[in-house]
This record gives sequence, C-alpha cells and structure tokens, in this order.
Amino acid sequence: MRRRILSLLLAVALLLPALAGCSAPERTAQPTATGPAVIDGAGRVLAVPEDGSEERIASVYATAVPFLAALGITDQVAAVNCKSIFWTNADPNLDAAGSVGRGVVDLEALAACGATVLVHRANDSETVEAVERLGMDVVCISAEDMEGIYDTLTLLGTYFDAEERAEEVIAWMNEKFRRIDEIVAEIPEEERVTALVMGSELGRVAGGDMLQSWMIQKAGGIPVAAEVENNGNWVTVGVETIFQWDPEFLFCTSSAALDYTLEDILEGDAWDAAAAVQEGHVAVIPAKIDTWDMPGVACVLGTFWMLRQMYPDRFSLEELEAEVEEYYTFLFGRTFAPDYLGYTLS
Amino acid sequence: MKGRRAVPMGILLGSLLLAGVVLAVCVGKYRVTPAESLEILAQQLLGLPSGYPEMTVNVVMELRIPRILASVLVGAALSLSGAAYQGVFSNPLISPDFLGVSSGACIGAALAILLALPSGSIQLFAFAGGVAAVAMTVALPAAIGNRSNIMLVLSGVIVGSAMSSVLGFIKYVADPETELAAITYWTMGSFTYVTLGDLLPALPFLLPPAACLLLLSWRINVLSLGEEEARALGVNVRAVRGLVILCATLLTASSVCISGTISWVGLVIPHLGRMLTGPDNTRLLPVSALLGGVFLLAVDTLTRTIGTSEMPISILTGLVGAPFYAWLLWRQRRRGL
Repeated sequence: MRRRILSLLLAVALLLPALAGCSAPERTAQPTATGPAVIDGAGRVLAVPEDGSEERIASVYATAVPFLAALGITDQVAAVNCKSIFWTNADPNLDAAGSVGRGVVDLEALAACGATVLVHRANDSETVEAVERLGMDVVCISAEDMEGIYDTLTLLGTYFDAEERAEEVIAWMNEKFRRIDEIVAEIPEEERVTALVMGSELGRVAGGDMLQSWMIQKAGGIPVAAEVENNGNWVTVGVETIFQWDPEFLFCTSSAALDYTLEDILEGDAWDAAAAVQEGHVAVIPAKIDTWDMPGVACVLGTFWMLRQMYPDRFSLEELEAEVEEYYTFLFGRTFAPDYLGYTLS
Repeated sequence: MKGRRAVPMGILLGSLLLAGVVLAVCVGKYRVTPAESLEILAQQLLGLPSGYPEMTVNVVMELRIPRILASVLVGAALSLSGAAYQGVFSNPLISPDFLGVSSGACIGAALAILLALPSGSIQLFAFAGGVAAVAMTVALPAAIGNRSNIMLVLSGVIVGSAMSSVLGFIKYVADPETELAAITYWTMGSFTYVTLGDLLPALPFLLPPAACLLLLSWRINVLSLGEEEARALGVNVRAVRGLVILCATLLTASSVCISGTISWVGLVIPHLGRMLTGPDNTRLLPVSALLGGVFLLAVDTLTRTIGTSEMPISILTGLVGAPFYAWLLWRQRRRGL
C-alpha cells in the first residue's frame, strides 16, 4: 500500500512540472503610446511625459551619468551611481543625489527615493520588468557606439524635455568631429599609422565594434583590431596576437582599472621588440578621474587626444589644450586643472 | 528525549515563522507603517479597494510578499534536501548541491544573461542546467560500472569542477560592466526580482518532492543503519536512495532557479535541526524545513533593510553559516560525538 502511495506521489511529482513548465509566463507587453512617443535603447516604445522636466530620475548605470550631465538635467536626479568622484565634485546635484544600488537596483530603495523614472541599460529585461511592476517608468539606453551616443542624447533630451540642449550638444560634437575630419583628410594614406586600445588586462583589447576603435579611425589611425568583434565588449586576444599585429601606437583605456602599469609594457623584456614600445608610443588615455574613452561627449576629447598622439605635426599641443578647455567650459561652465583630472598632455 | 520535544518544537518554529512573516511584511526601506502594510495585505487578499498610493501597494504586494514567500520556500527546500541527502548518505558534510546541481544551474543562468534572453528564460535555463548536471553526475558512475555512494560523491566533485570551469569561461567573456556583474550577483543568490509569477510554476517542483521526502523519512532512518541492515529490514535500498536523490535534486534545482545559489543553508541548518531533535529523520526533516524557512526569511529581511544597496544573500548566509558550522564542529568534538 505504501509503495503504491509512493509511486503515485512520484508520478505526480514528475507529471506536474511537465504540465506547469518552469519559466514564468511573459508578463510585460510592449508598451504603446498614443501621444508623443520615443523608442528607447531596448527598442521599446515609450510615451513622452507631458512635462519631462518634472520627472525625477534614478539610475544605477554609471554610463548614464555623463549623458544626464551633458543635457543639464542633473537637478532632476534623485539617485545615481557615479563611478568617479569627478562627477560628484563637478556637479552638486549629483553629489546631493542618493543611491539605489551599484549596477543592480535595490527596488525598495528605488521606490523610496522619490524617483519617477529609472534610466537603465538596455540588456537587462529582468530589472526593467521588476521596476515596471512597481508602477515606475524605465528608459533604457544603449550607448556603446557613436550612433548609440547620439541616439541616447536625443532620447533622453526628448523624454526629459531637454531637446534643445540635446541638439546643441549633438551640433557641438558634430562640429568637433568635422574639424577632426578636415585635419585627417590632409594626411596621406601612406602616413597613416596603426593603433590599438588595450583594456584592463594585458592582451585584452577593444575590438572593431567598440567605441575606442571608432575613435582611432576617426583620428586618422588604422585600428589593428578592426576584424575582432565581441558584441561591443572587450575581447581577450592575448599578447602574442598584439605582437603579431604590432601596432605603432598602443593606448591603454582609462575607462577601467588597469591590472598592469605602463612600466610593465615599456620596461618588460617581452615587449622590447614591439614597435609601439621601441618608439615610446605607449600611453594611457586621459584622464584619471574623468574618462575620455567612455561613451559620452568626452569621446570627442579622446579622439582629439589620439589625433595629437598619432600625428603631432598636424595637431599642436596648444590646439589640444584649447579643445580640452572648450569641452569643460561647454559642459560645466568651468575648467579643471590637469593635475586634478590626472593627465598630462605634453 | 529530544524526539519527544519535536512536536512542541514544531509548534514553536511554526509560530516563529508566522511572526517572522508578519514582521517582514512590515519592515523595509520604503516607509509603510506595520498597520498600513497589514491593512494593504488584508485589502488585497479580500479584494477590497485600497485608498493607498499605487507605489505603496506595489511595494507591499509586488516586492515584499513574493520575496517573503520565496525566502521561506527556498530556505525550507534547501534545508529539507540537505537533511535528506545527509541522512541517505550518512554523511553530515554533504550539502544539497553536491551532485553539481548549483553549478549546472549557474551555467544555465549565466548563459541566459550572456545571451540577454528574457527574464523567464534565466529561470528556465537555470533549472535545465541544474538537472543536466545531476544527470551527468548520476550517469558517470553507471558508465564506469561502480554505483557505490563514494563513486557518486566523486562524480559530483568531477561534474561540479567541470561546471565551475565552464562558468569561469562564461564570466571571462562577459562584459565586466554589465553581464559579469549580473552573473556574479545571480550566483550569490537574491530574491530581489522574484514575483508570484515565478513562484507559482515552481510549486509543482517544490511541494510534491517535499511531501515525498517527508513520507520517506523513516526509510531514510533505515538506510542510515547501513545497506545490509536496510535490505534485511525489507527496504529496497537502490529505489529509496534514487527516489530521495530525485526529490532532493528537484527541491534544490527549483530553489536555485528561484533565487540563484545560496550557500550554507542546506549544509548548516540540518545540523542545527539535529541539535534540536536528534538524528531521527522523521522529526529532523520537518524541523529542518521550518528552521530553514525562518533562517532564510530573517537573512533576506536583513539584506533588504540594512545598507544603502541590497547585498546578495550568500554574503550573509556565509558570514553566519561558516562560524556557526565551526562552532557546531567544536561543540560536537567537546561532546565526543
């Protein structure tokens, strides 16, 4: 009798899961909008708020910060995740903002912080659904390449009623890139140099689908890792592959903490024969506390810096210094000492 | 003596669990008074209209209630499966994930995160990964032709190690800013995103296996006497052990797919239960389940109320579990156990 009961229980245990399935059913339908609408970085259609300037913003996505600052809407920020002290020192609104997590959202803290909308990364549907269940809106951004940077400025500008500022920033960037194009256009093909941006580890590089490779190309260089792609992520090719490519310029990112030093490369025996090392063409992209190779308006500066590194005869130090000064004045209404930001241009 | 204390112990733990649930509904970072929380809960359960702001209702009903239920269920499931495994293998060092279920589930979840699949897929992939890992662990001794307990444990170590390497590779290729953080957070366990929609489909994986284990508890007692004795007493050792492994695996895999990997609970709580009830599995299993529910509910309530951002569950369970386990070993040694 007991054996029968056990058999029956076992059958139920095995049968029920098969009938019920394990995964949760799809819960969130694609939002639709009847009034003005925008498409966010995740491809969702969002209704534009009646008065976007009244919205209170929260974010745990550090990439969102430069965009909110560039659009001048940090006074709407209730909670934010600033990766660097540069932002909290430069902007009192960001300094005063609270926190609802770093990378991962603390949902109850989010509900308590007074925000009405979460600005979040595009590839995290789990968080988006959870926040929407709270009754809060979510705007997803995807700013991993230049097109994404422009789209993000336009999206956030439209959503938060800062369209004019978004257009102004985009126009400023376009003007700067036009200037770079003009300079690069005068560089003969045979003078073009090869370059590579290395990531947080030796042998980890920016592939052809990353912003850093685009910046090299924009500055007139030839990105040696153009053929390597990893969905817009850093890719580990190994030091041997870098030696095989042997780029004339080797730039190290400032967007992540490096687990090596420039001395490891310049003084390491293994790197002796590398063309970039022999010519002393190895440098960390500025700046220590404000990153010029991160998605955002600062990539303009990173591109100017690369141009100066690769073609010093065509773009002078004074011109670069003027561009740096103009950038910070344009975005923050003030300049910052190179020592404070942690870079030297000479 | 300890056995006679099991019924009042059960009533005490049941009351403690109920009090813990009520307390957990009432506390959190979002300001809702206990009276408001309970009123909202009552209104929603009775289908009455609520005059509270939508956000307040959502915090109680969409955030707190699902994760409270989930933490109790997962805590009970992990502890029950841990106690069952320890009983059937007569080995107090065995934890519910020794057959590789957690490692397999982590790989499934990590893959879903890496491929940016919809949220439900993470749970589905985790469950599939967990079950696949256990299938490999069970298949290996059969392939070698040695079906002993020790071979099964070794097989679990082999599969677990292989799975850890695969997980390491997935982490290696993941974007450190986004995907890696999500994978790491998931592998350390959290109830942050649990919904009732996630819990309901998991119930068939949890309740029947749990009931089955409770019904099998006296047979586990017989098994713990040794295989020869168990056979002499008329127990089909292979069938009972297989059934216990199947049920405990389903419980663990379902738990991991709800919350991610939560360490220590399935290992330590059965020991605590054994201190309270003695080694008799007919009492140990239900008491372990209740204790596990109370413990994980308390830990989850702590993680969501302290600090400015939520920390993964395994950080706290590890901080509590490791010294507690060391204390238990020290205590057992002093008693000459």
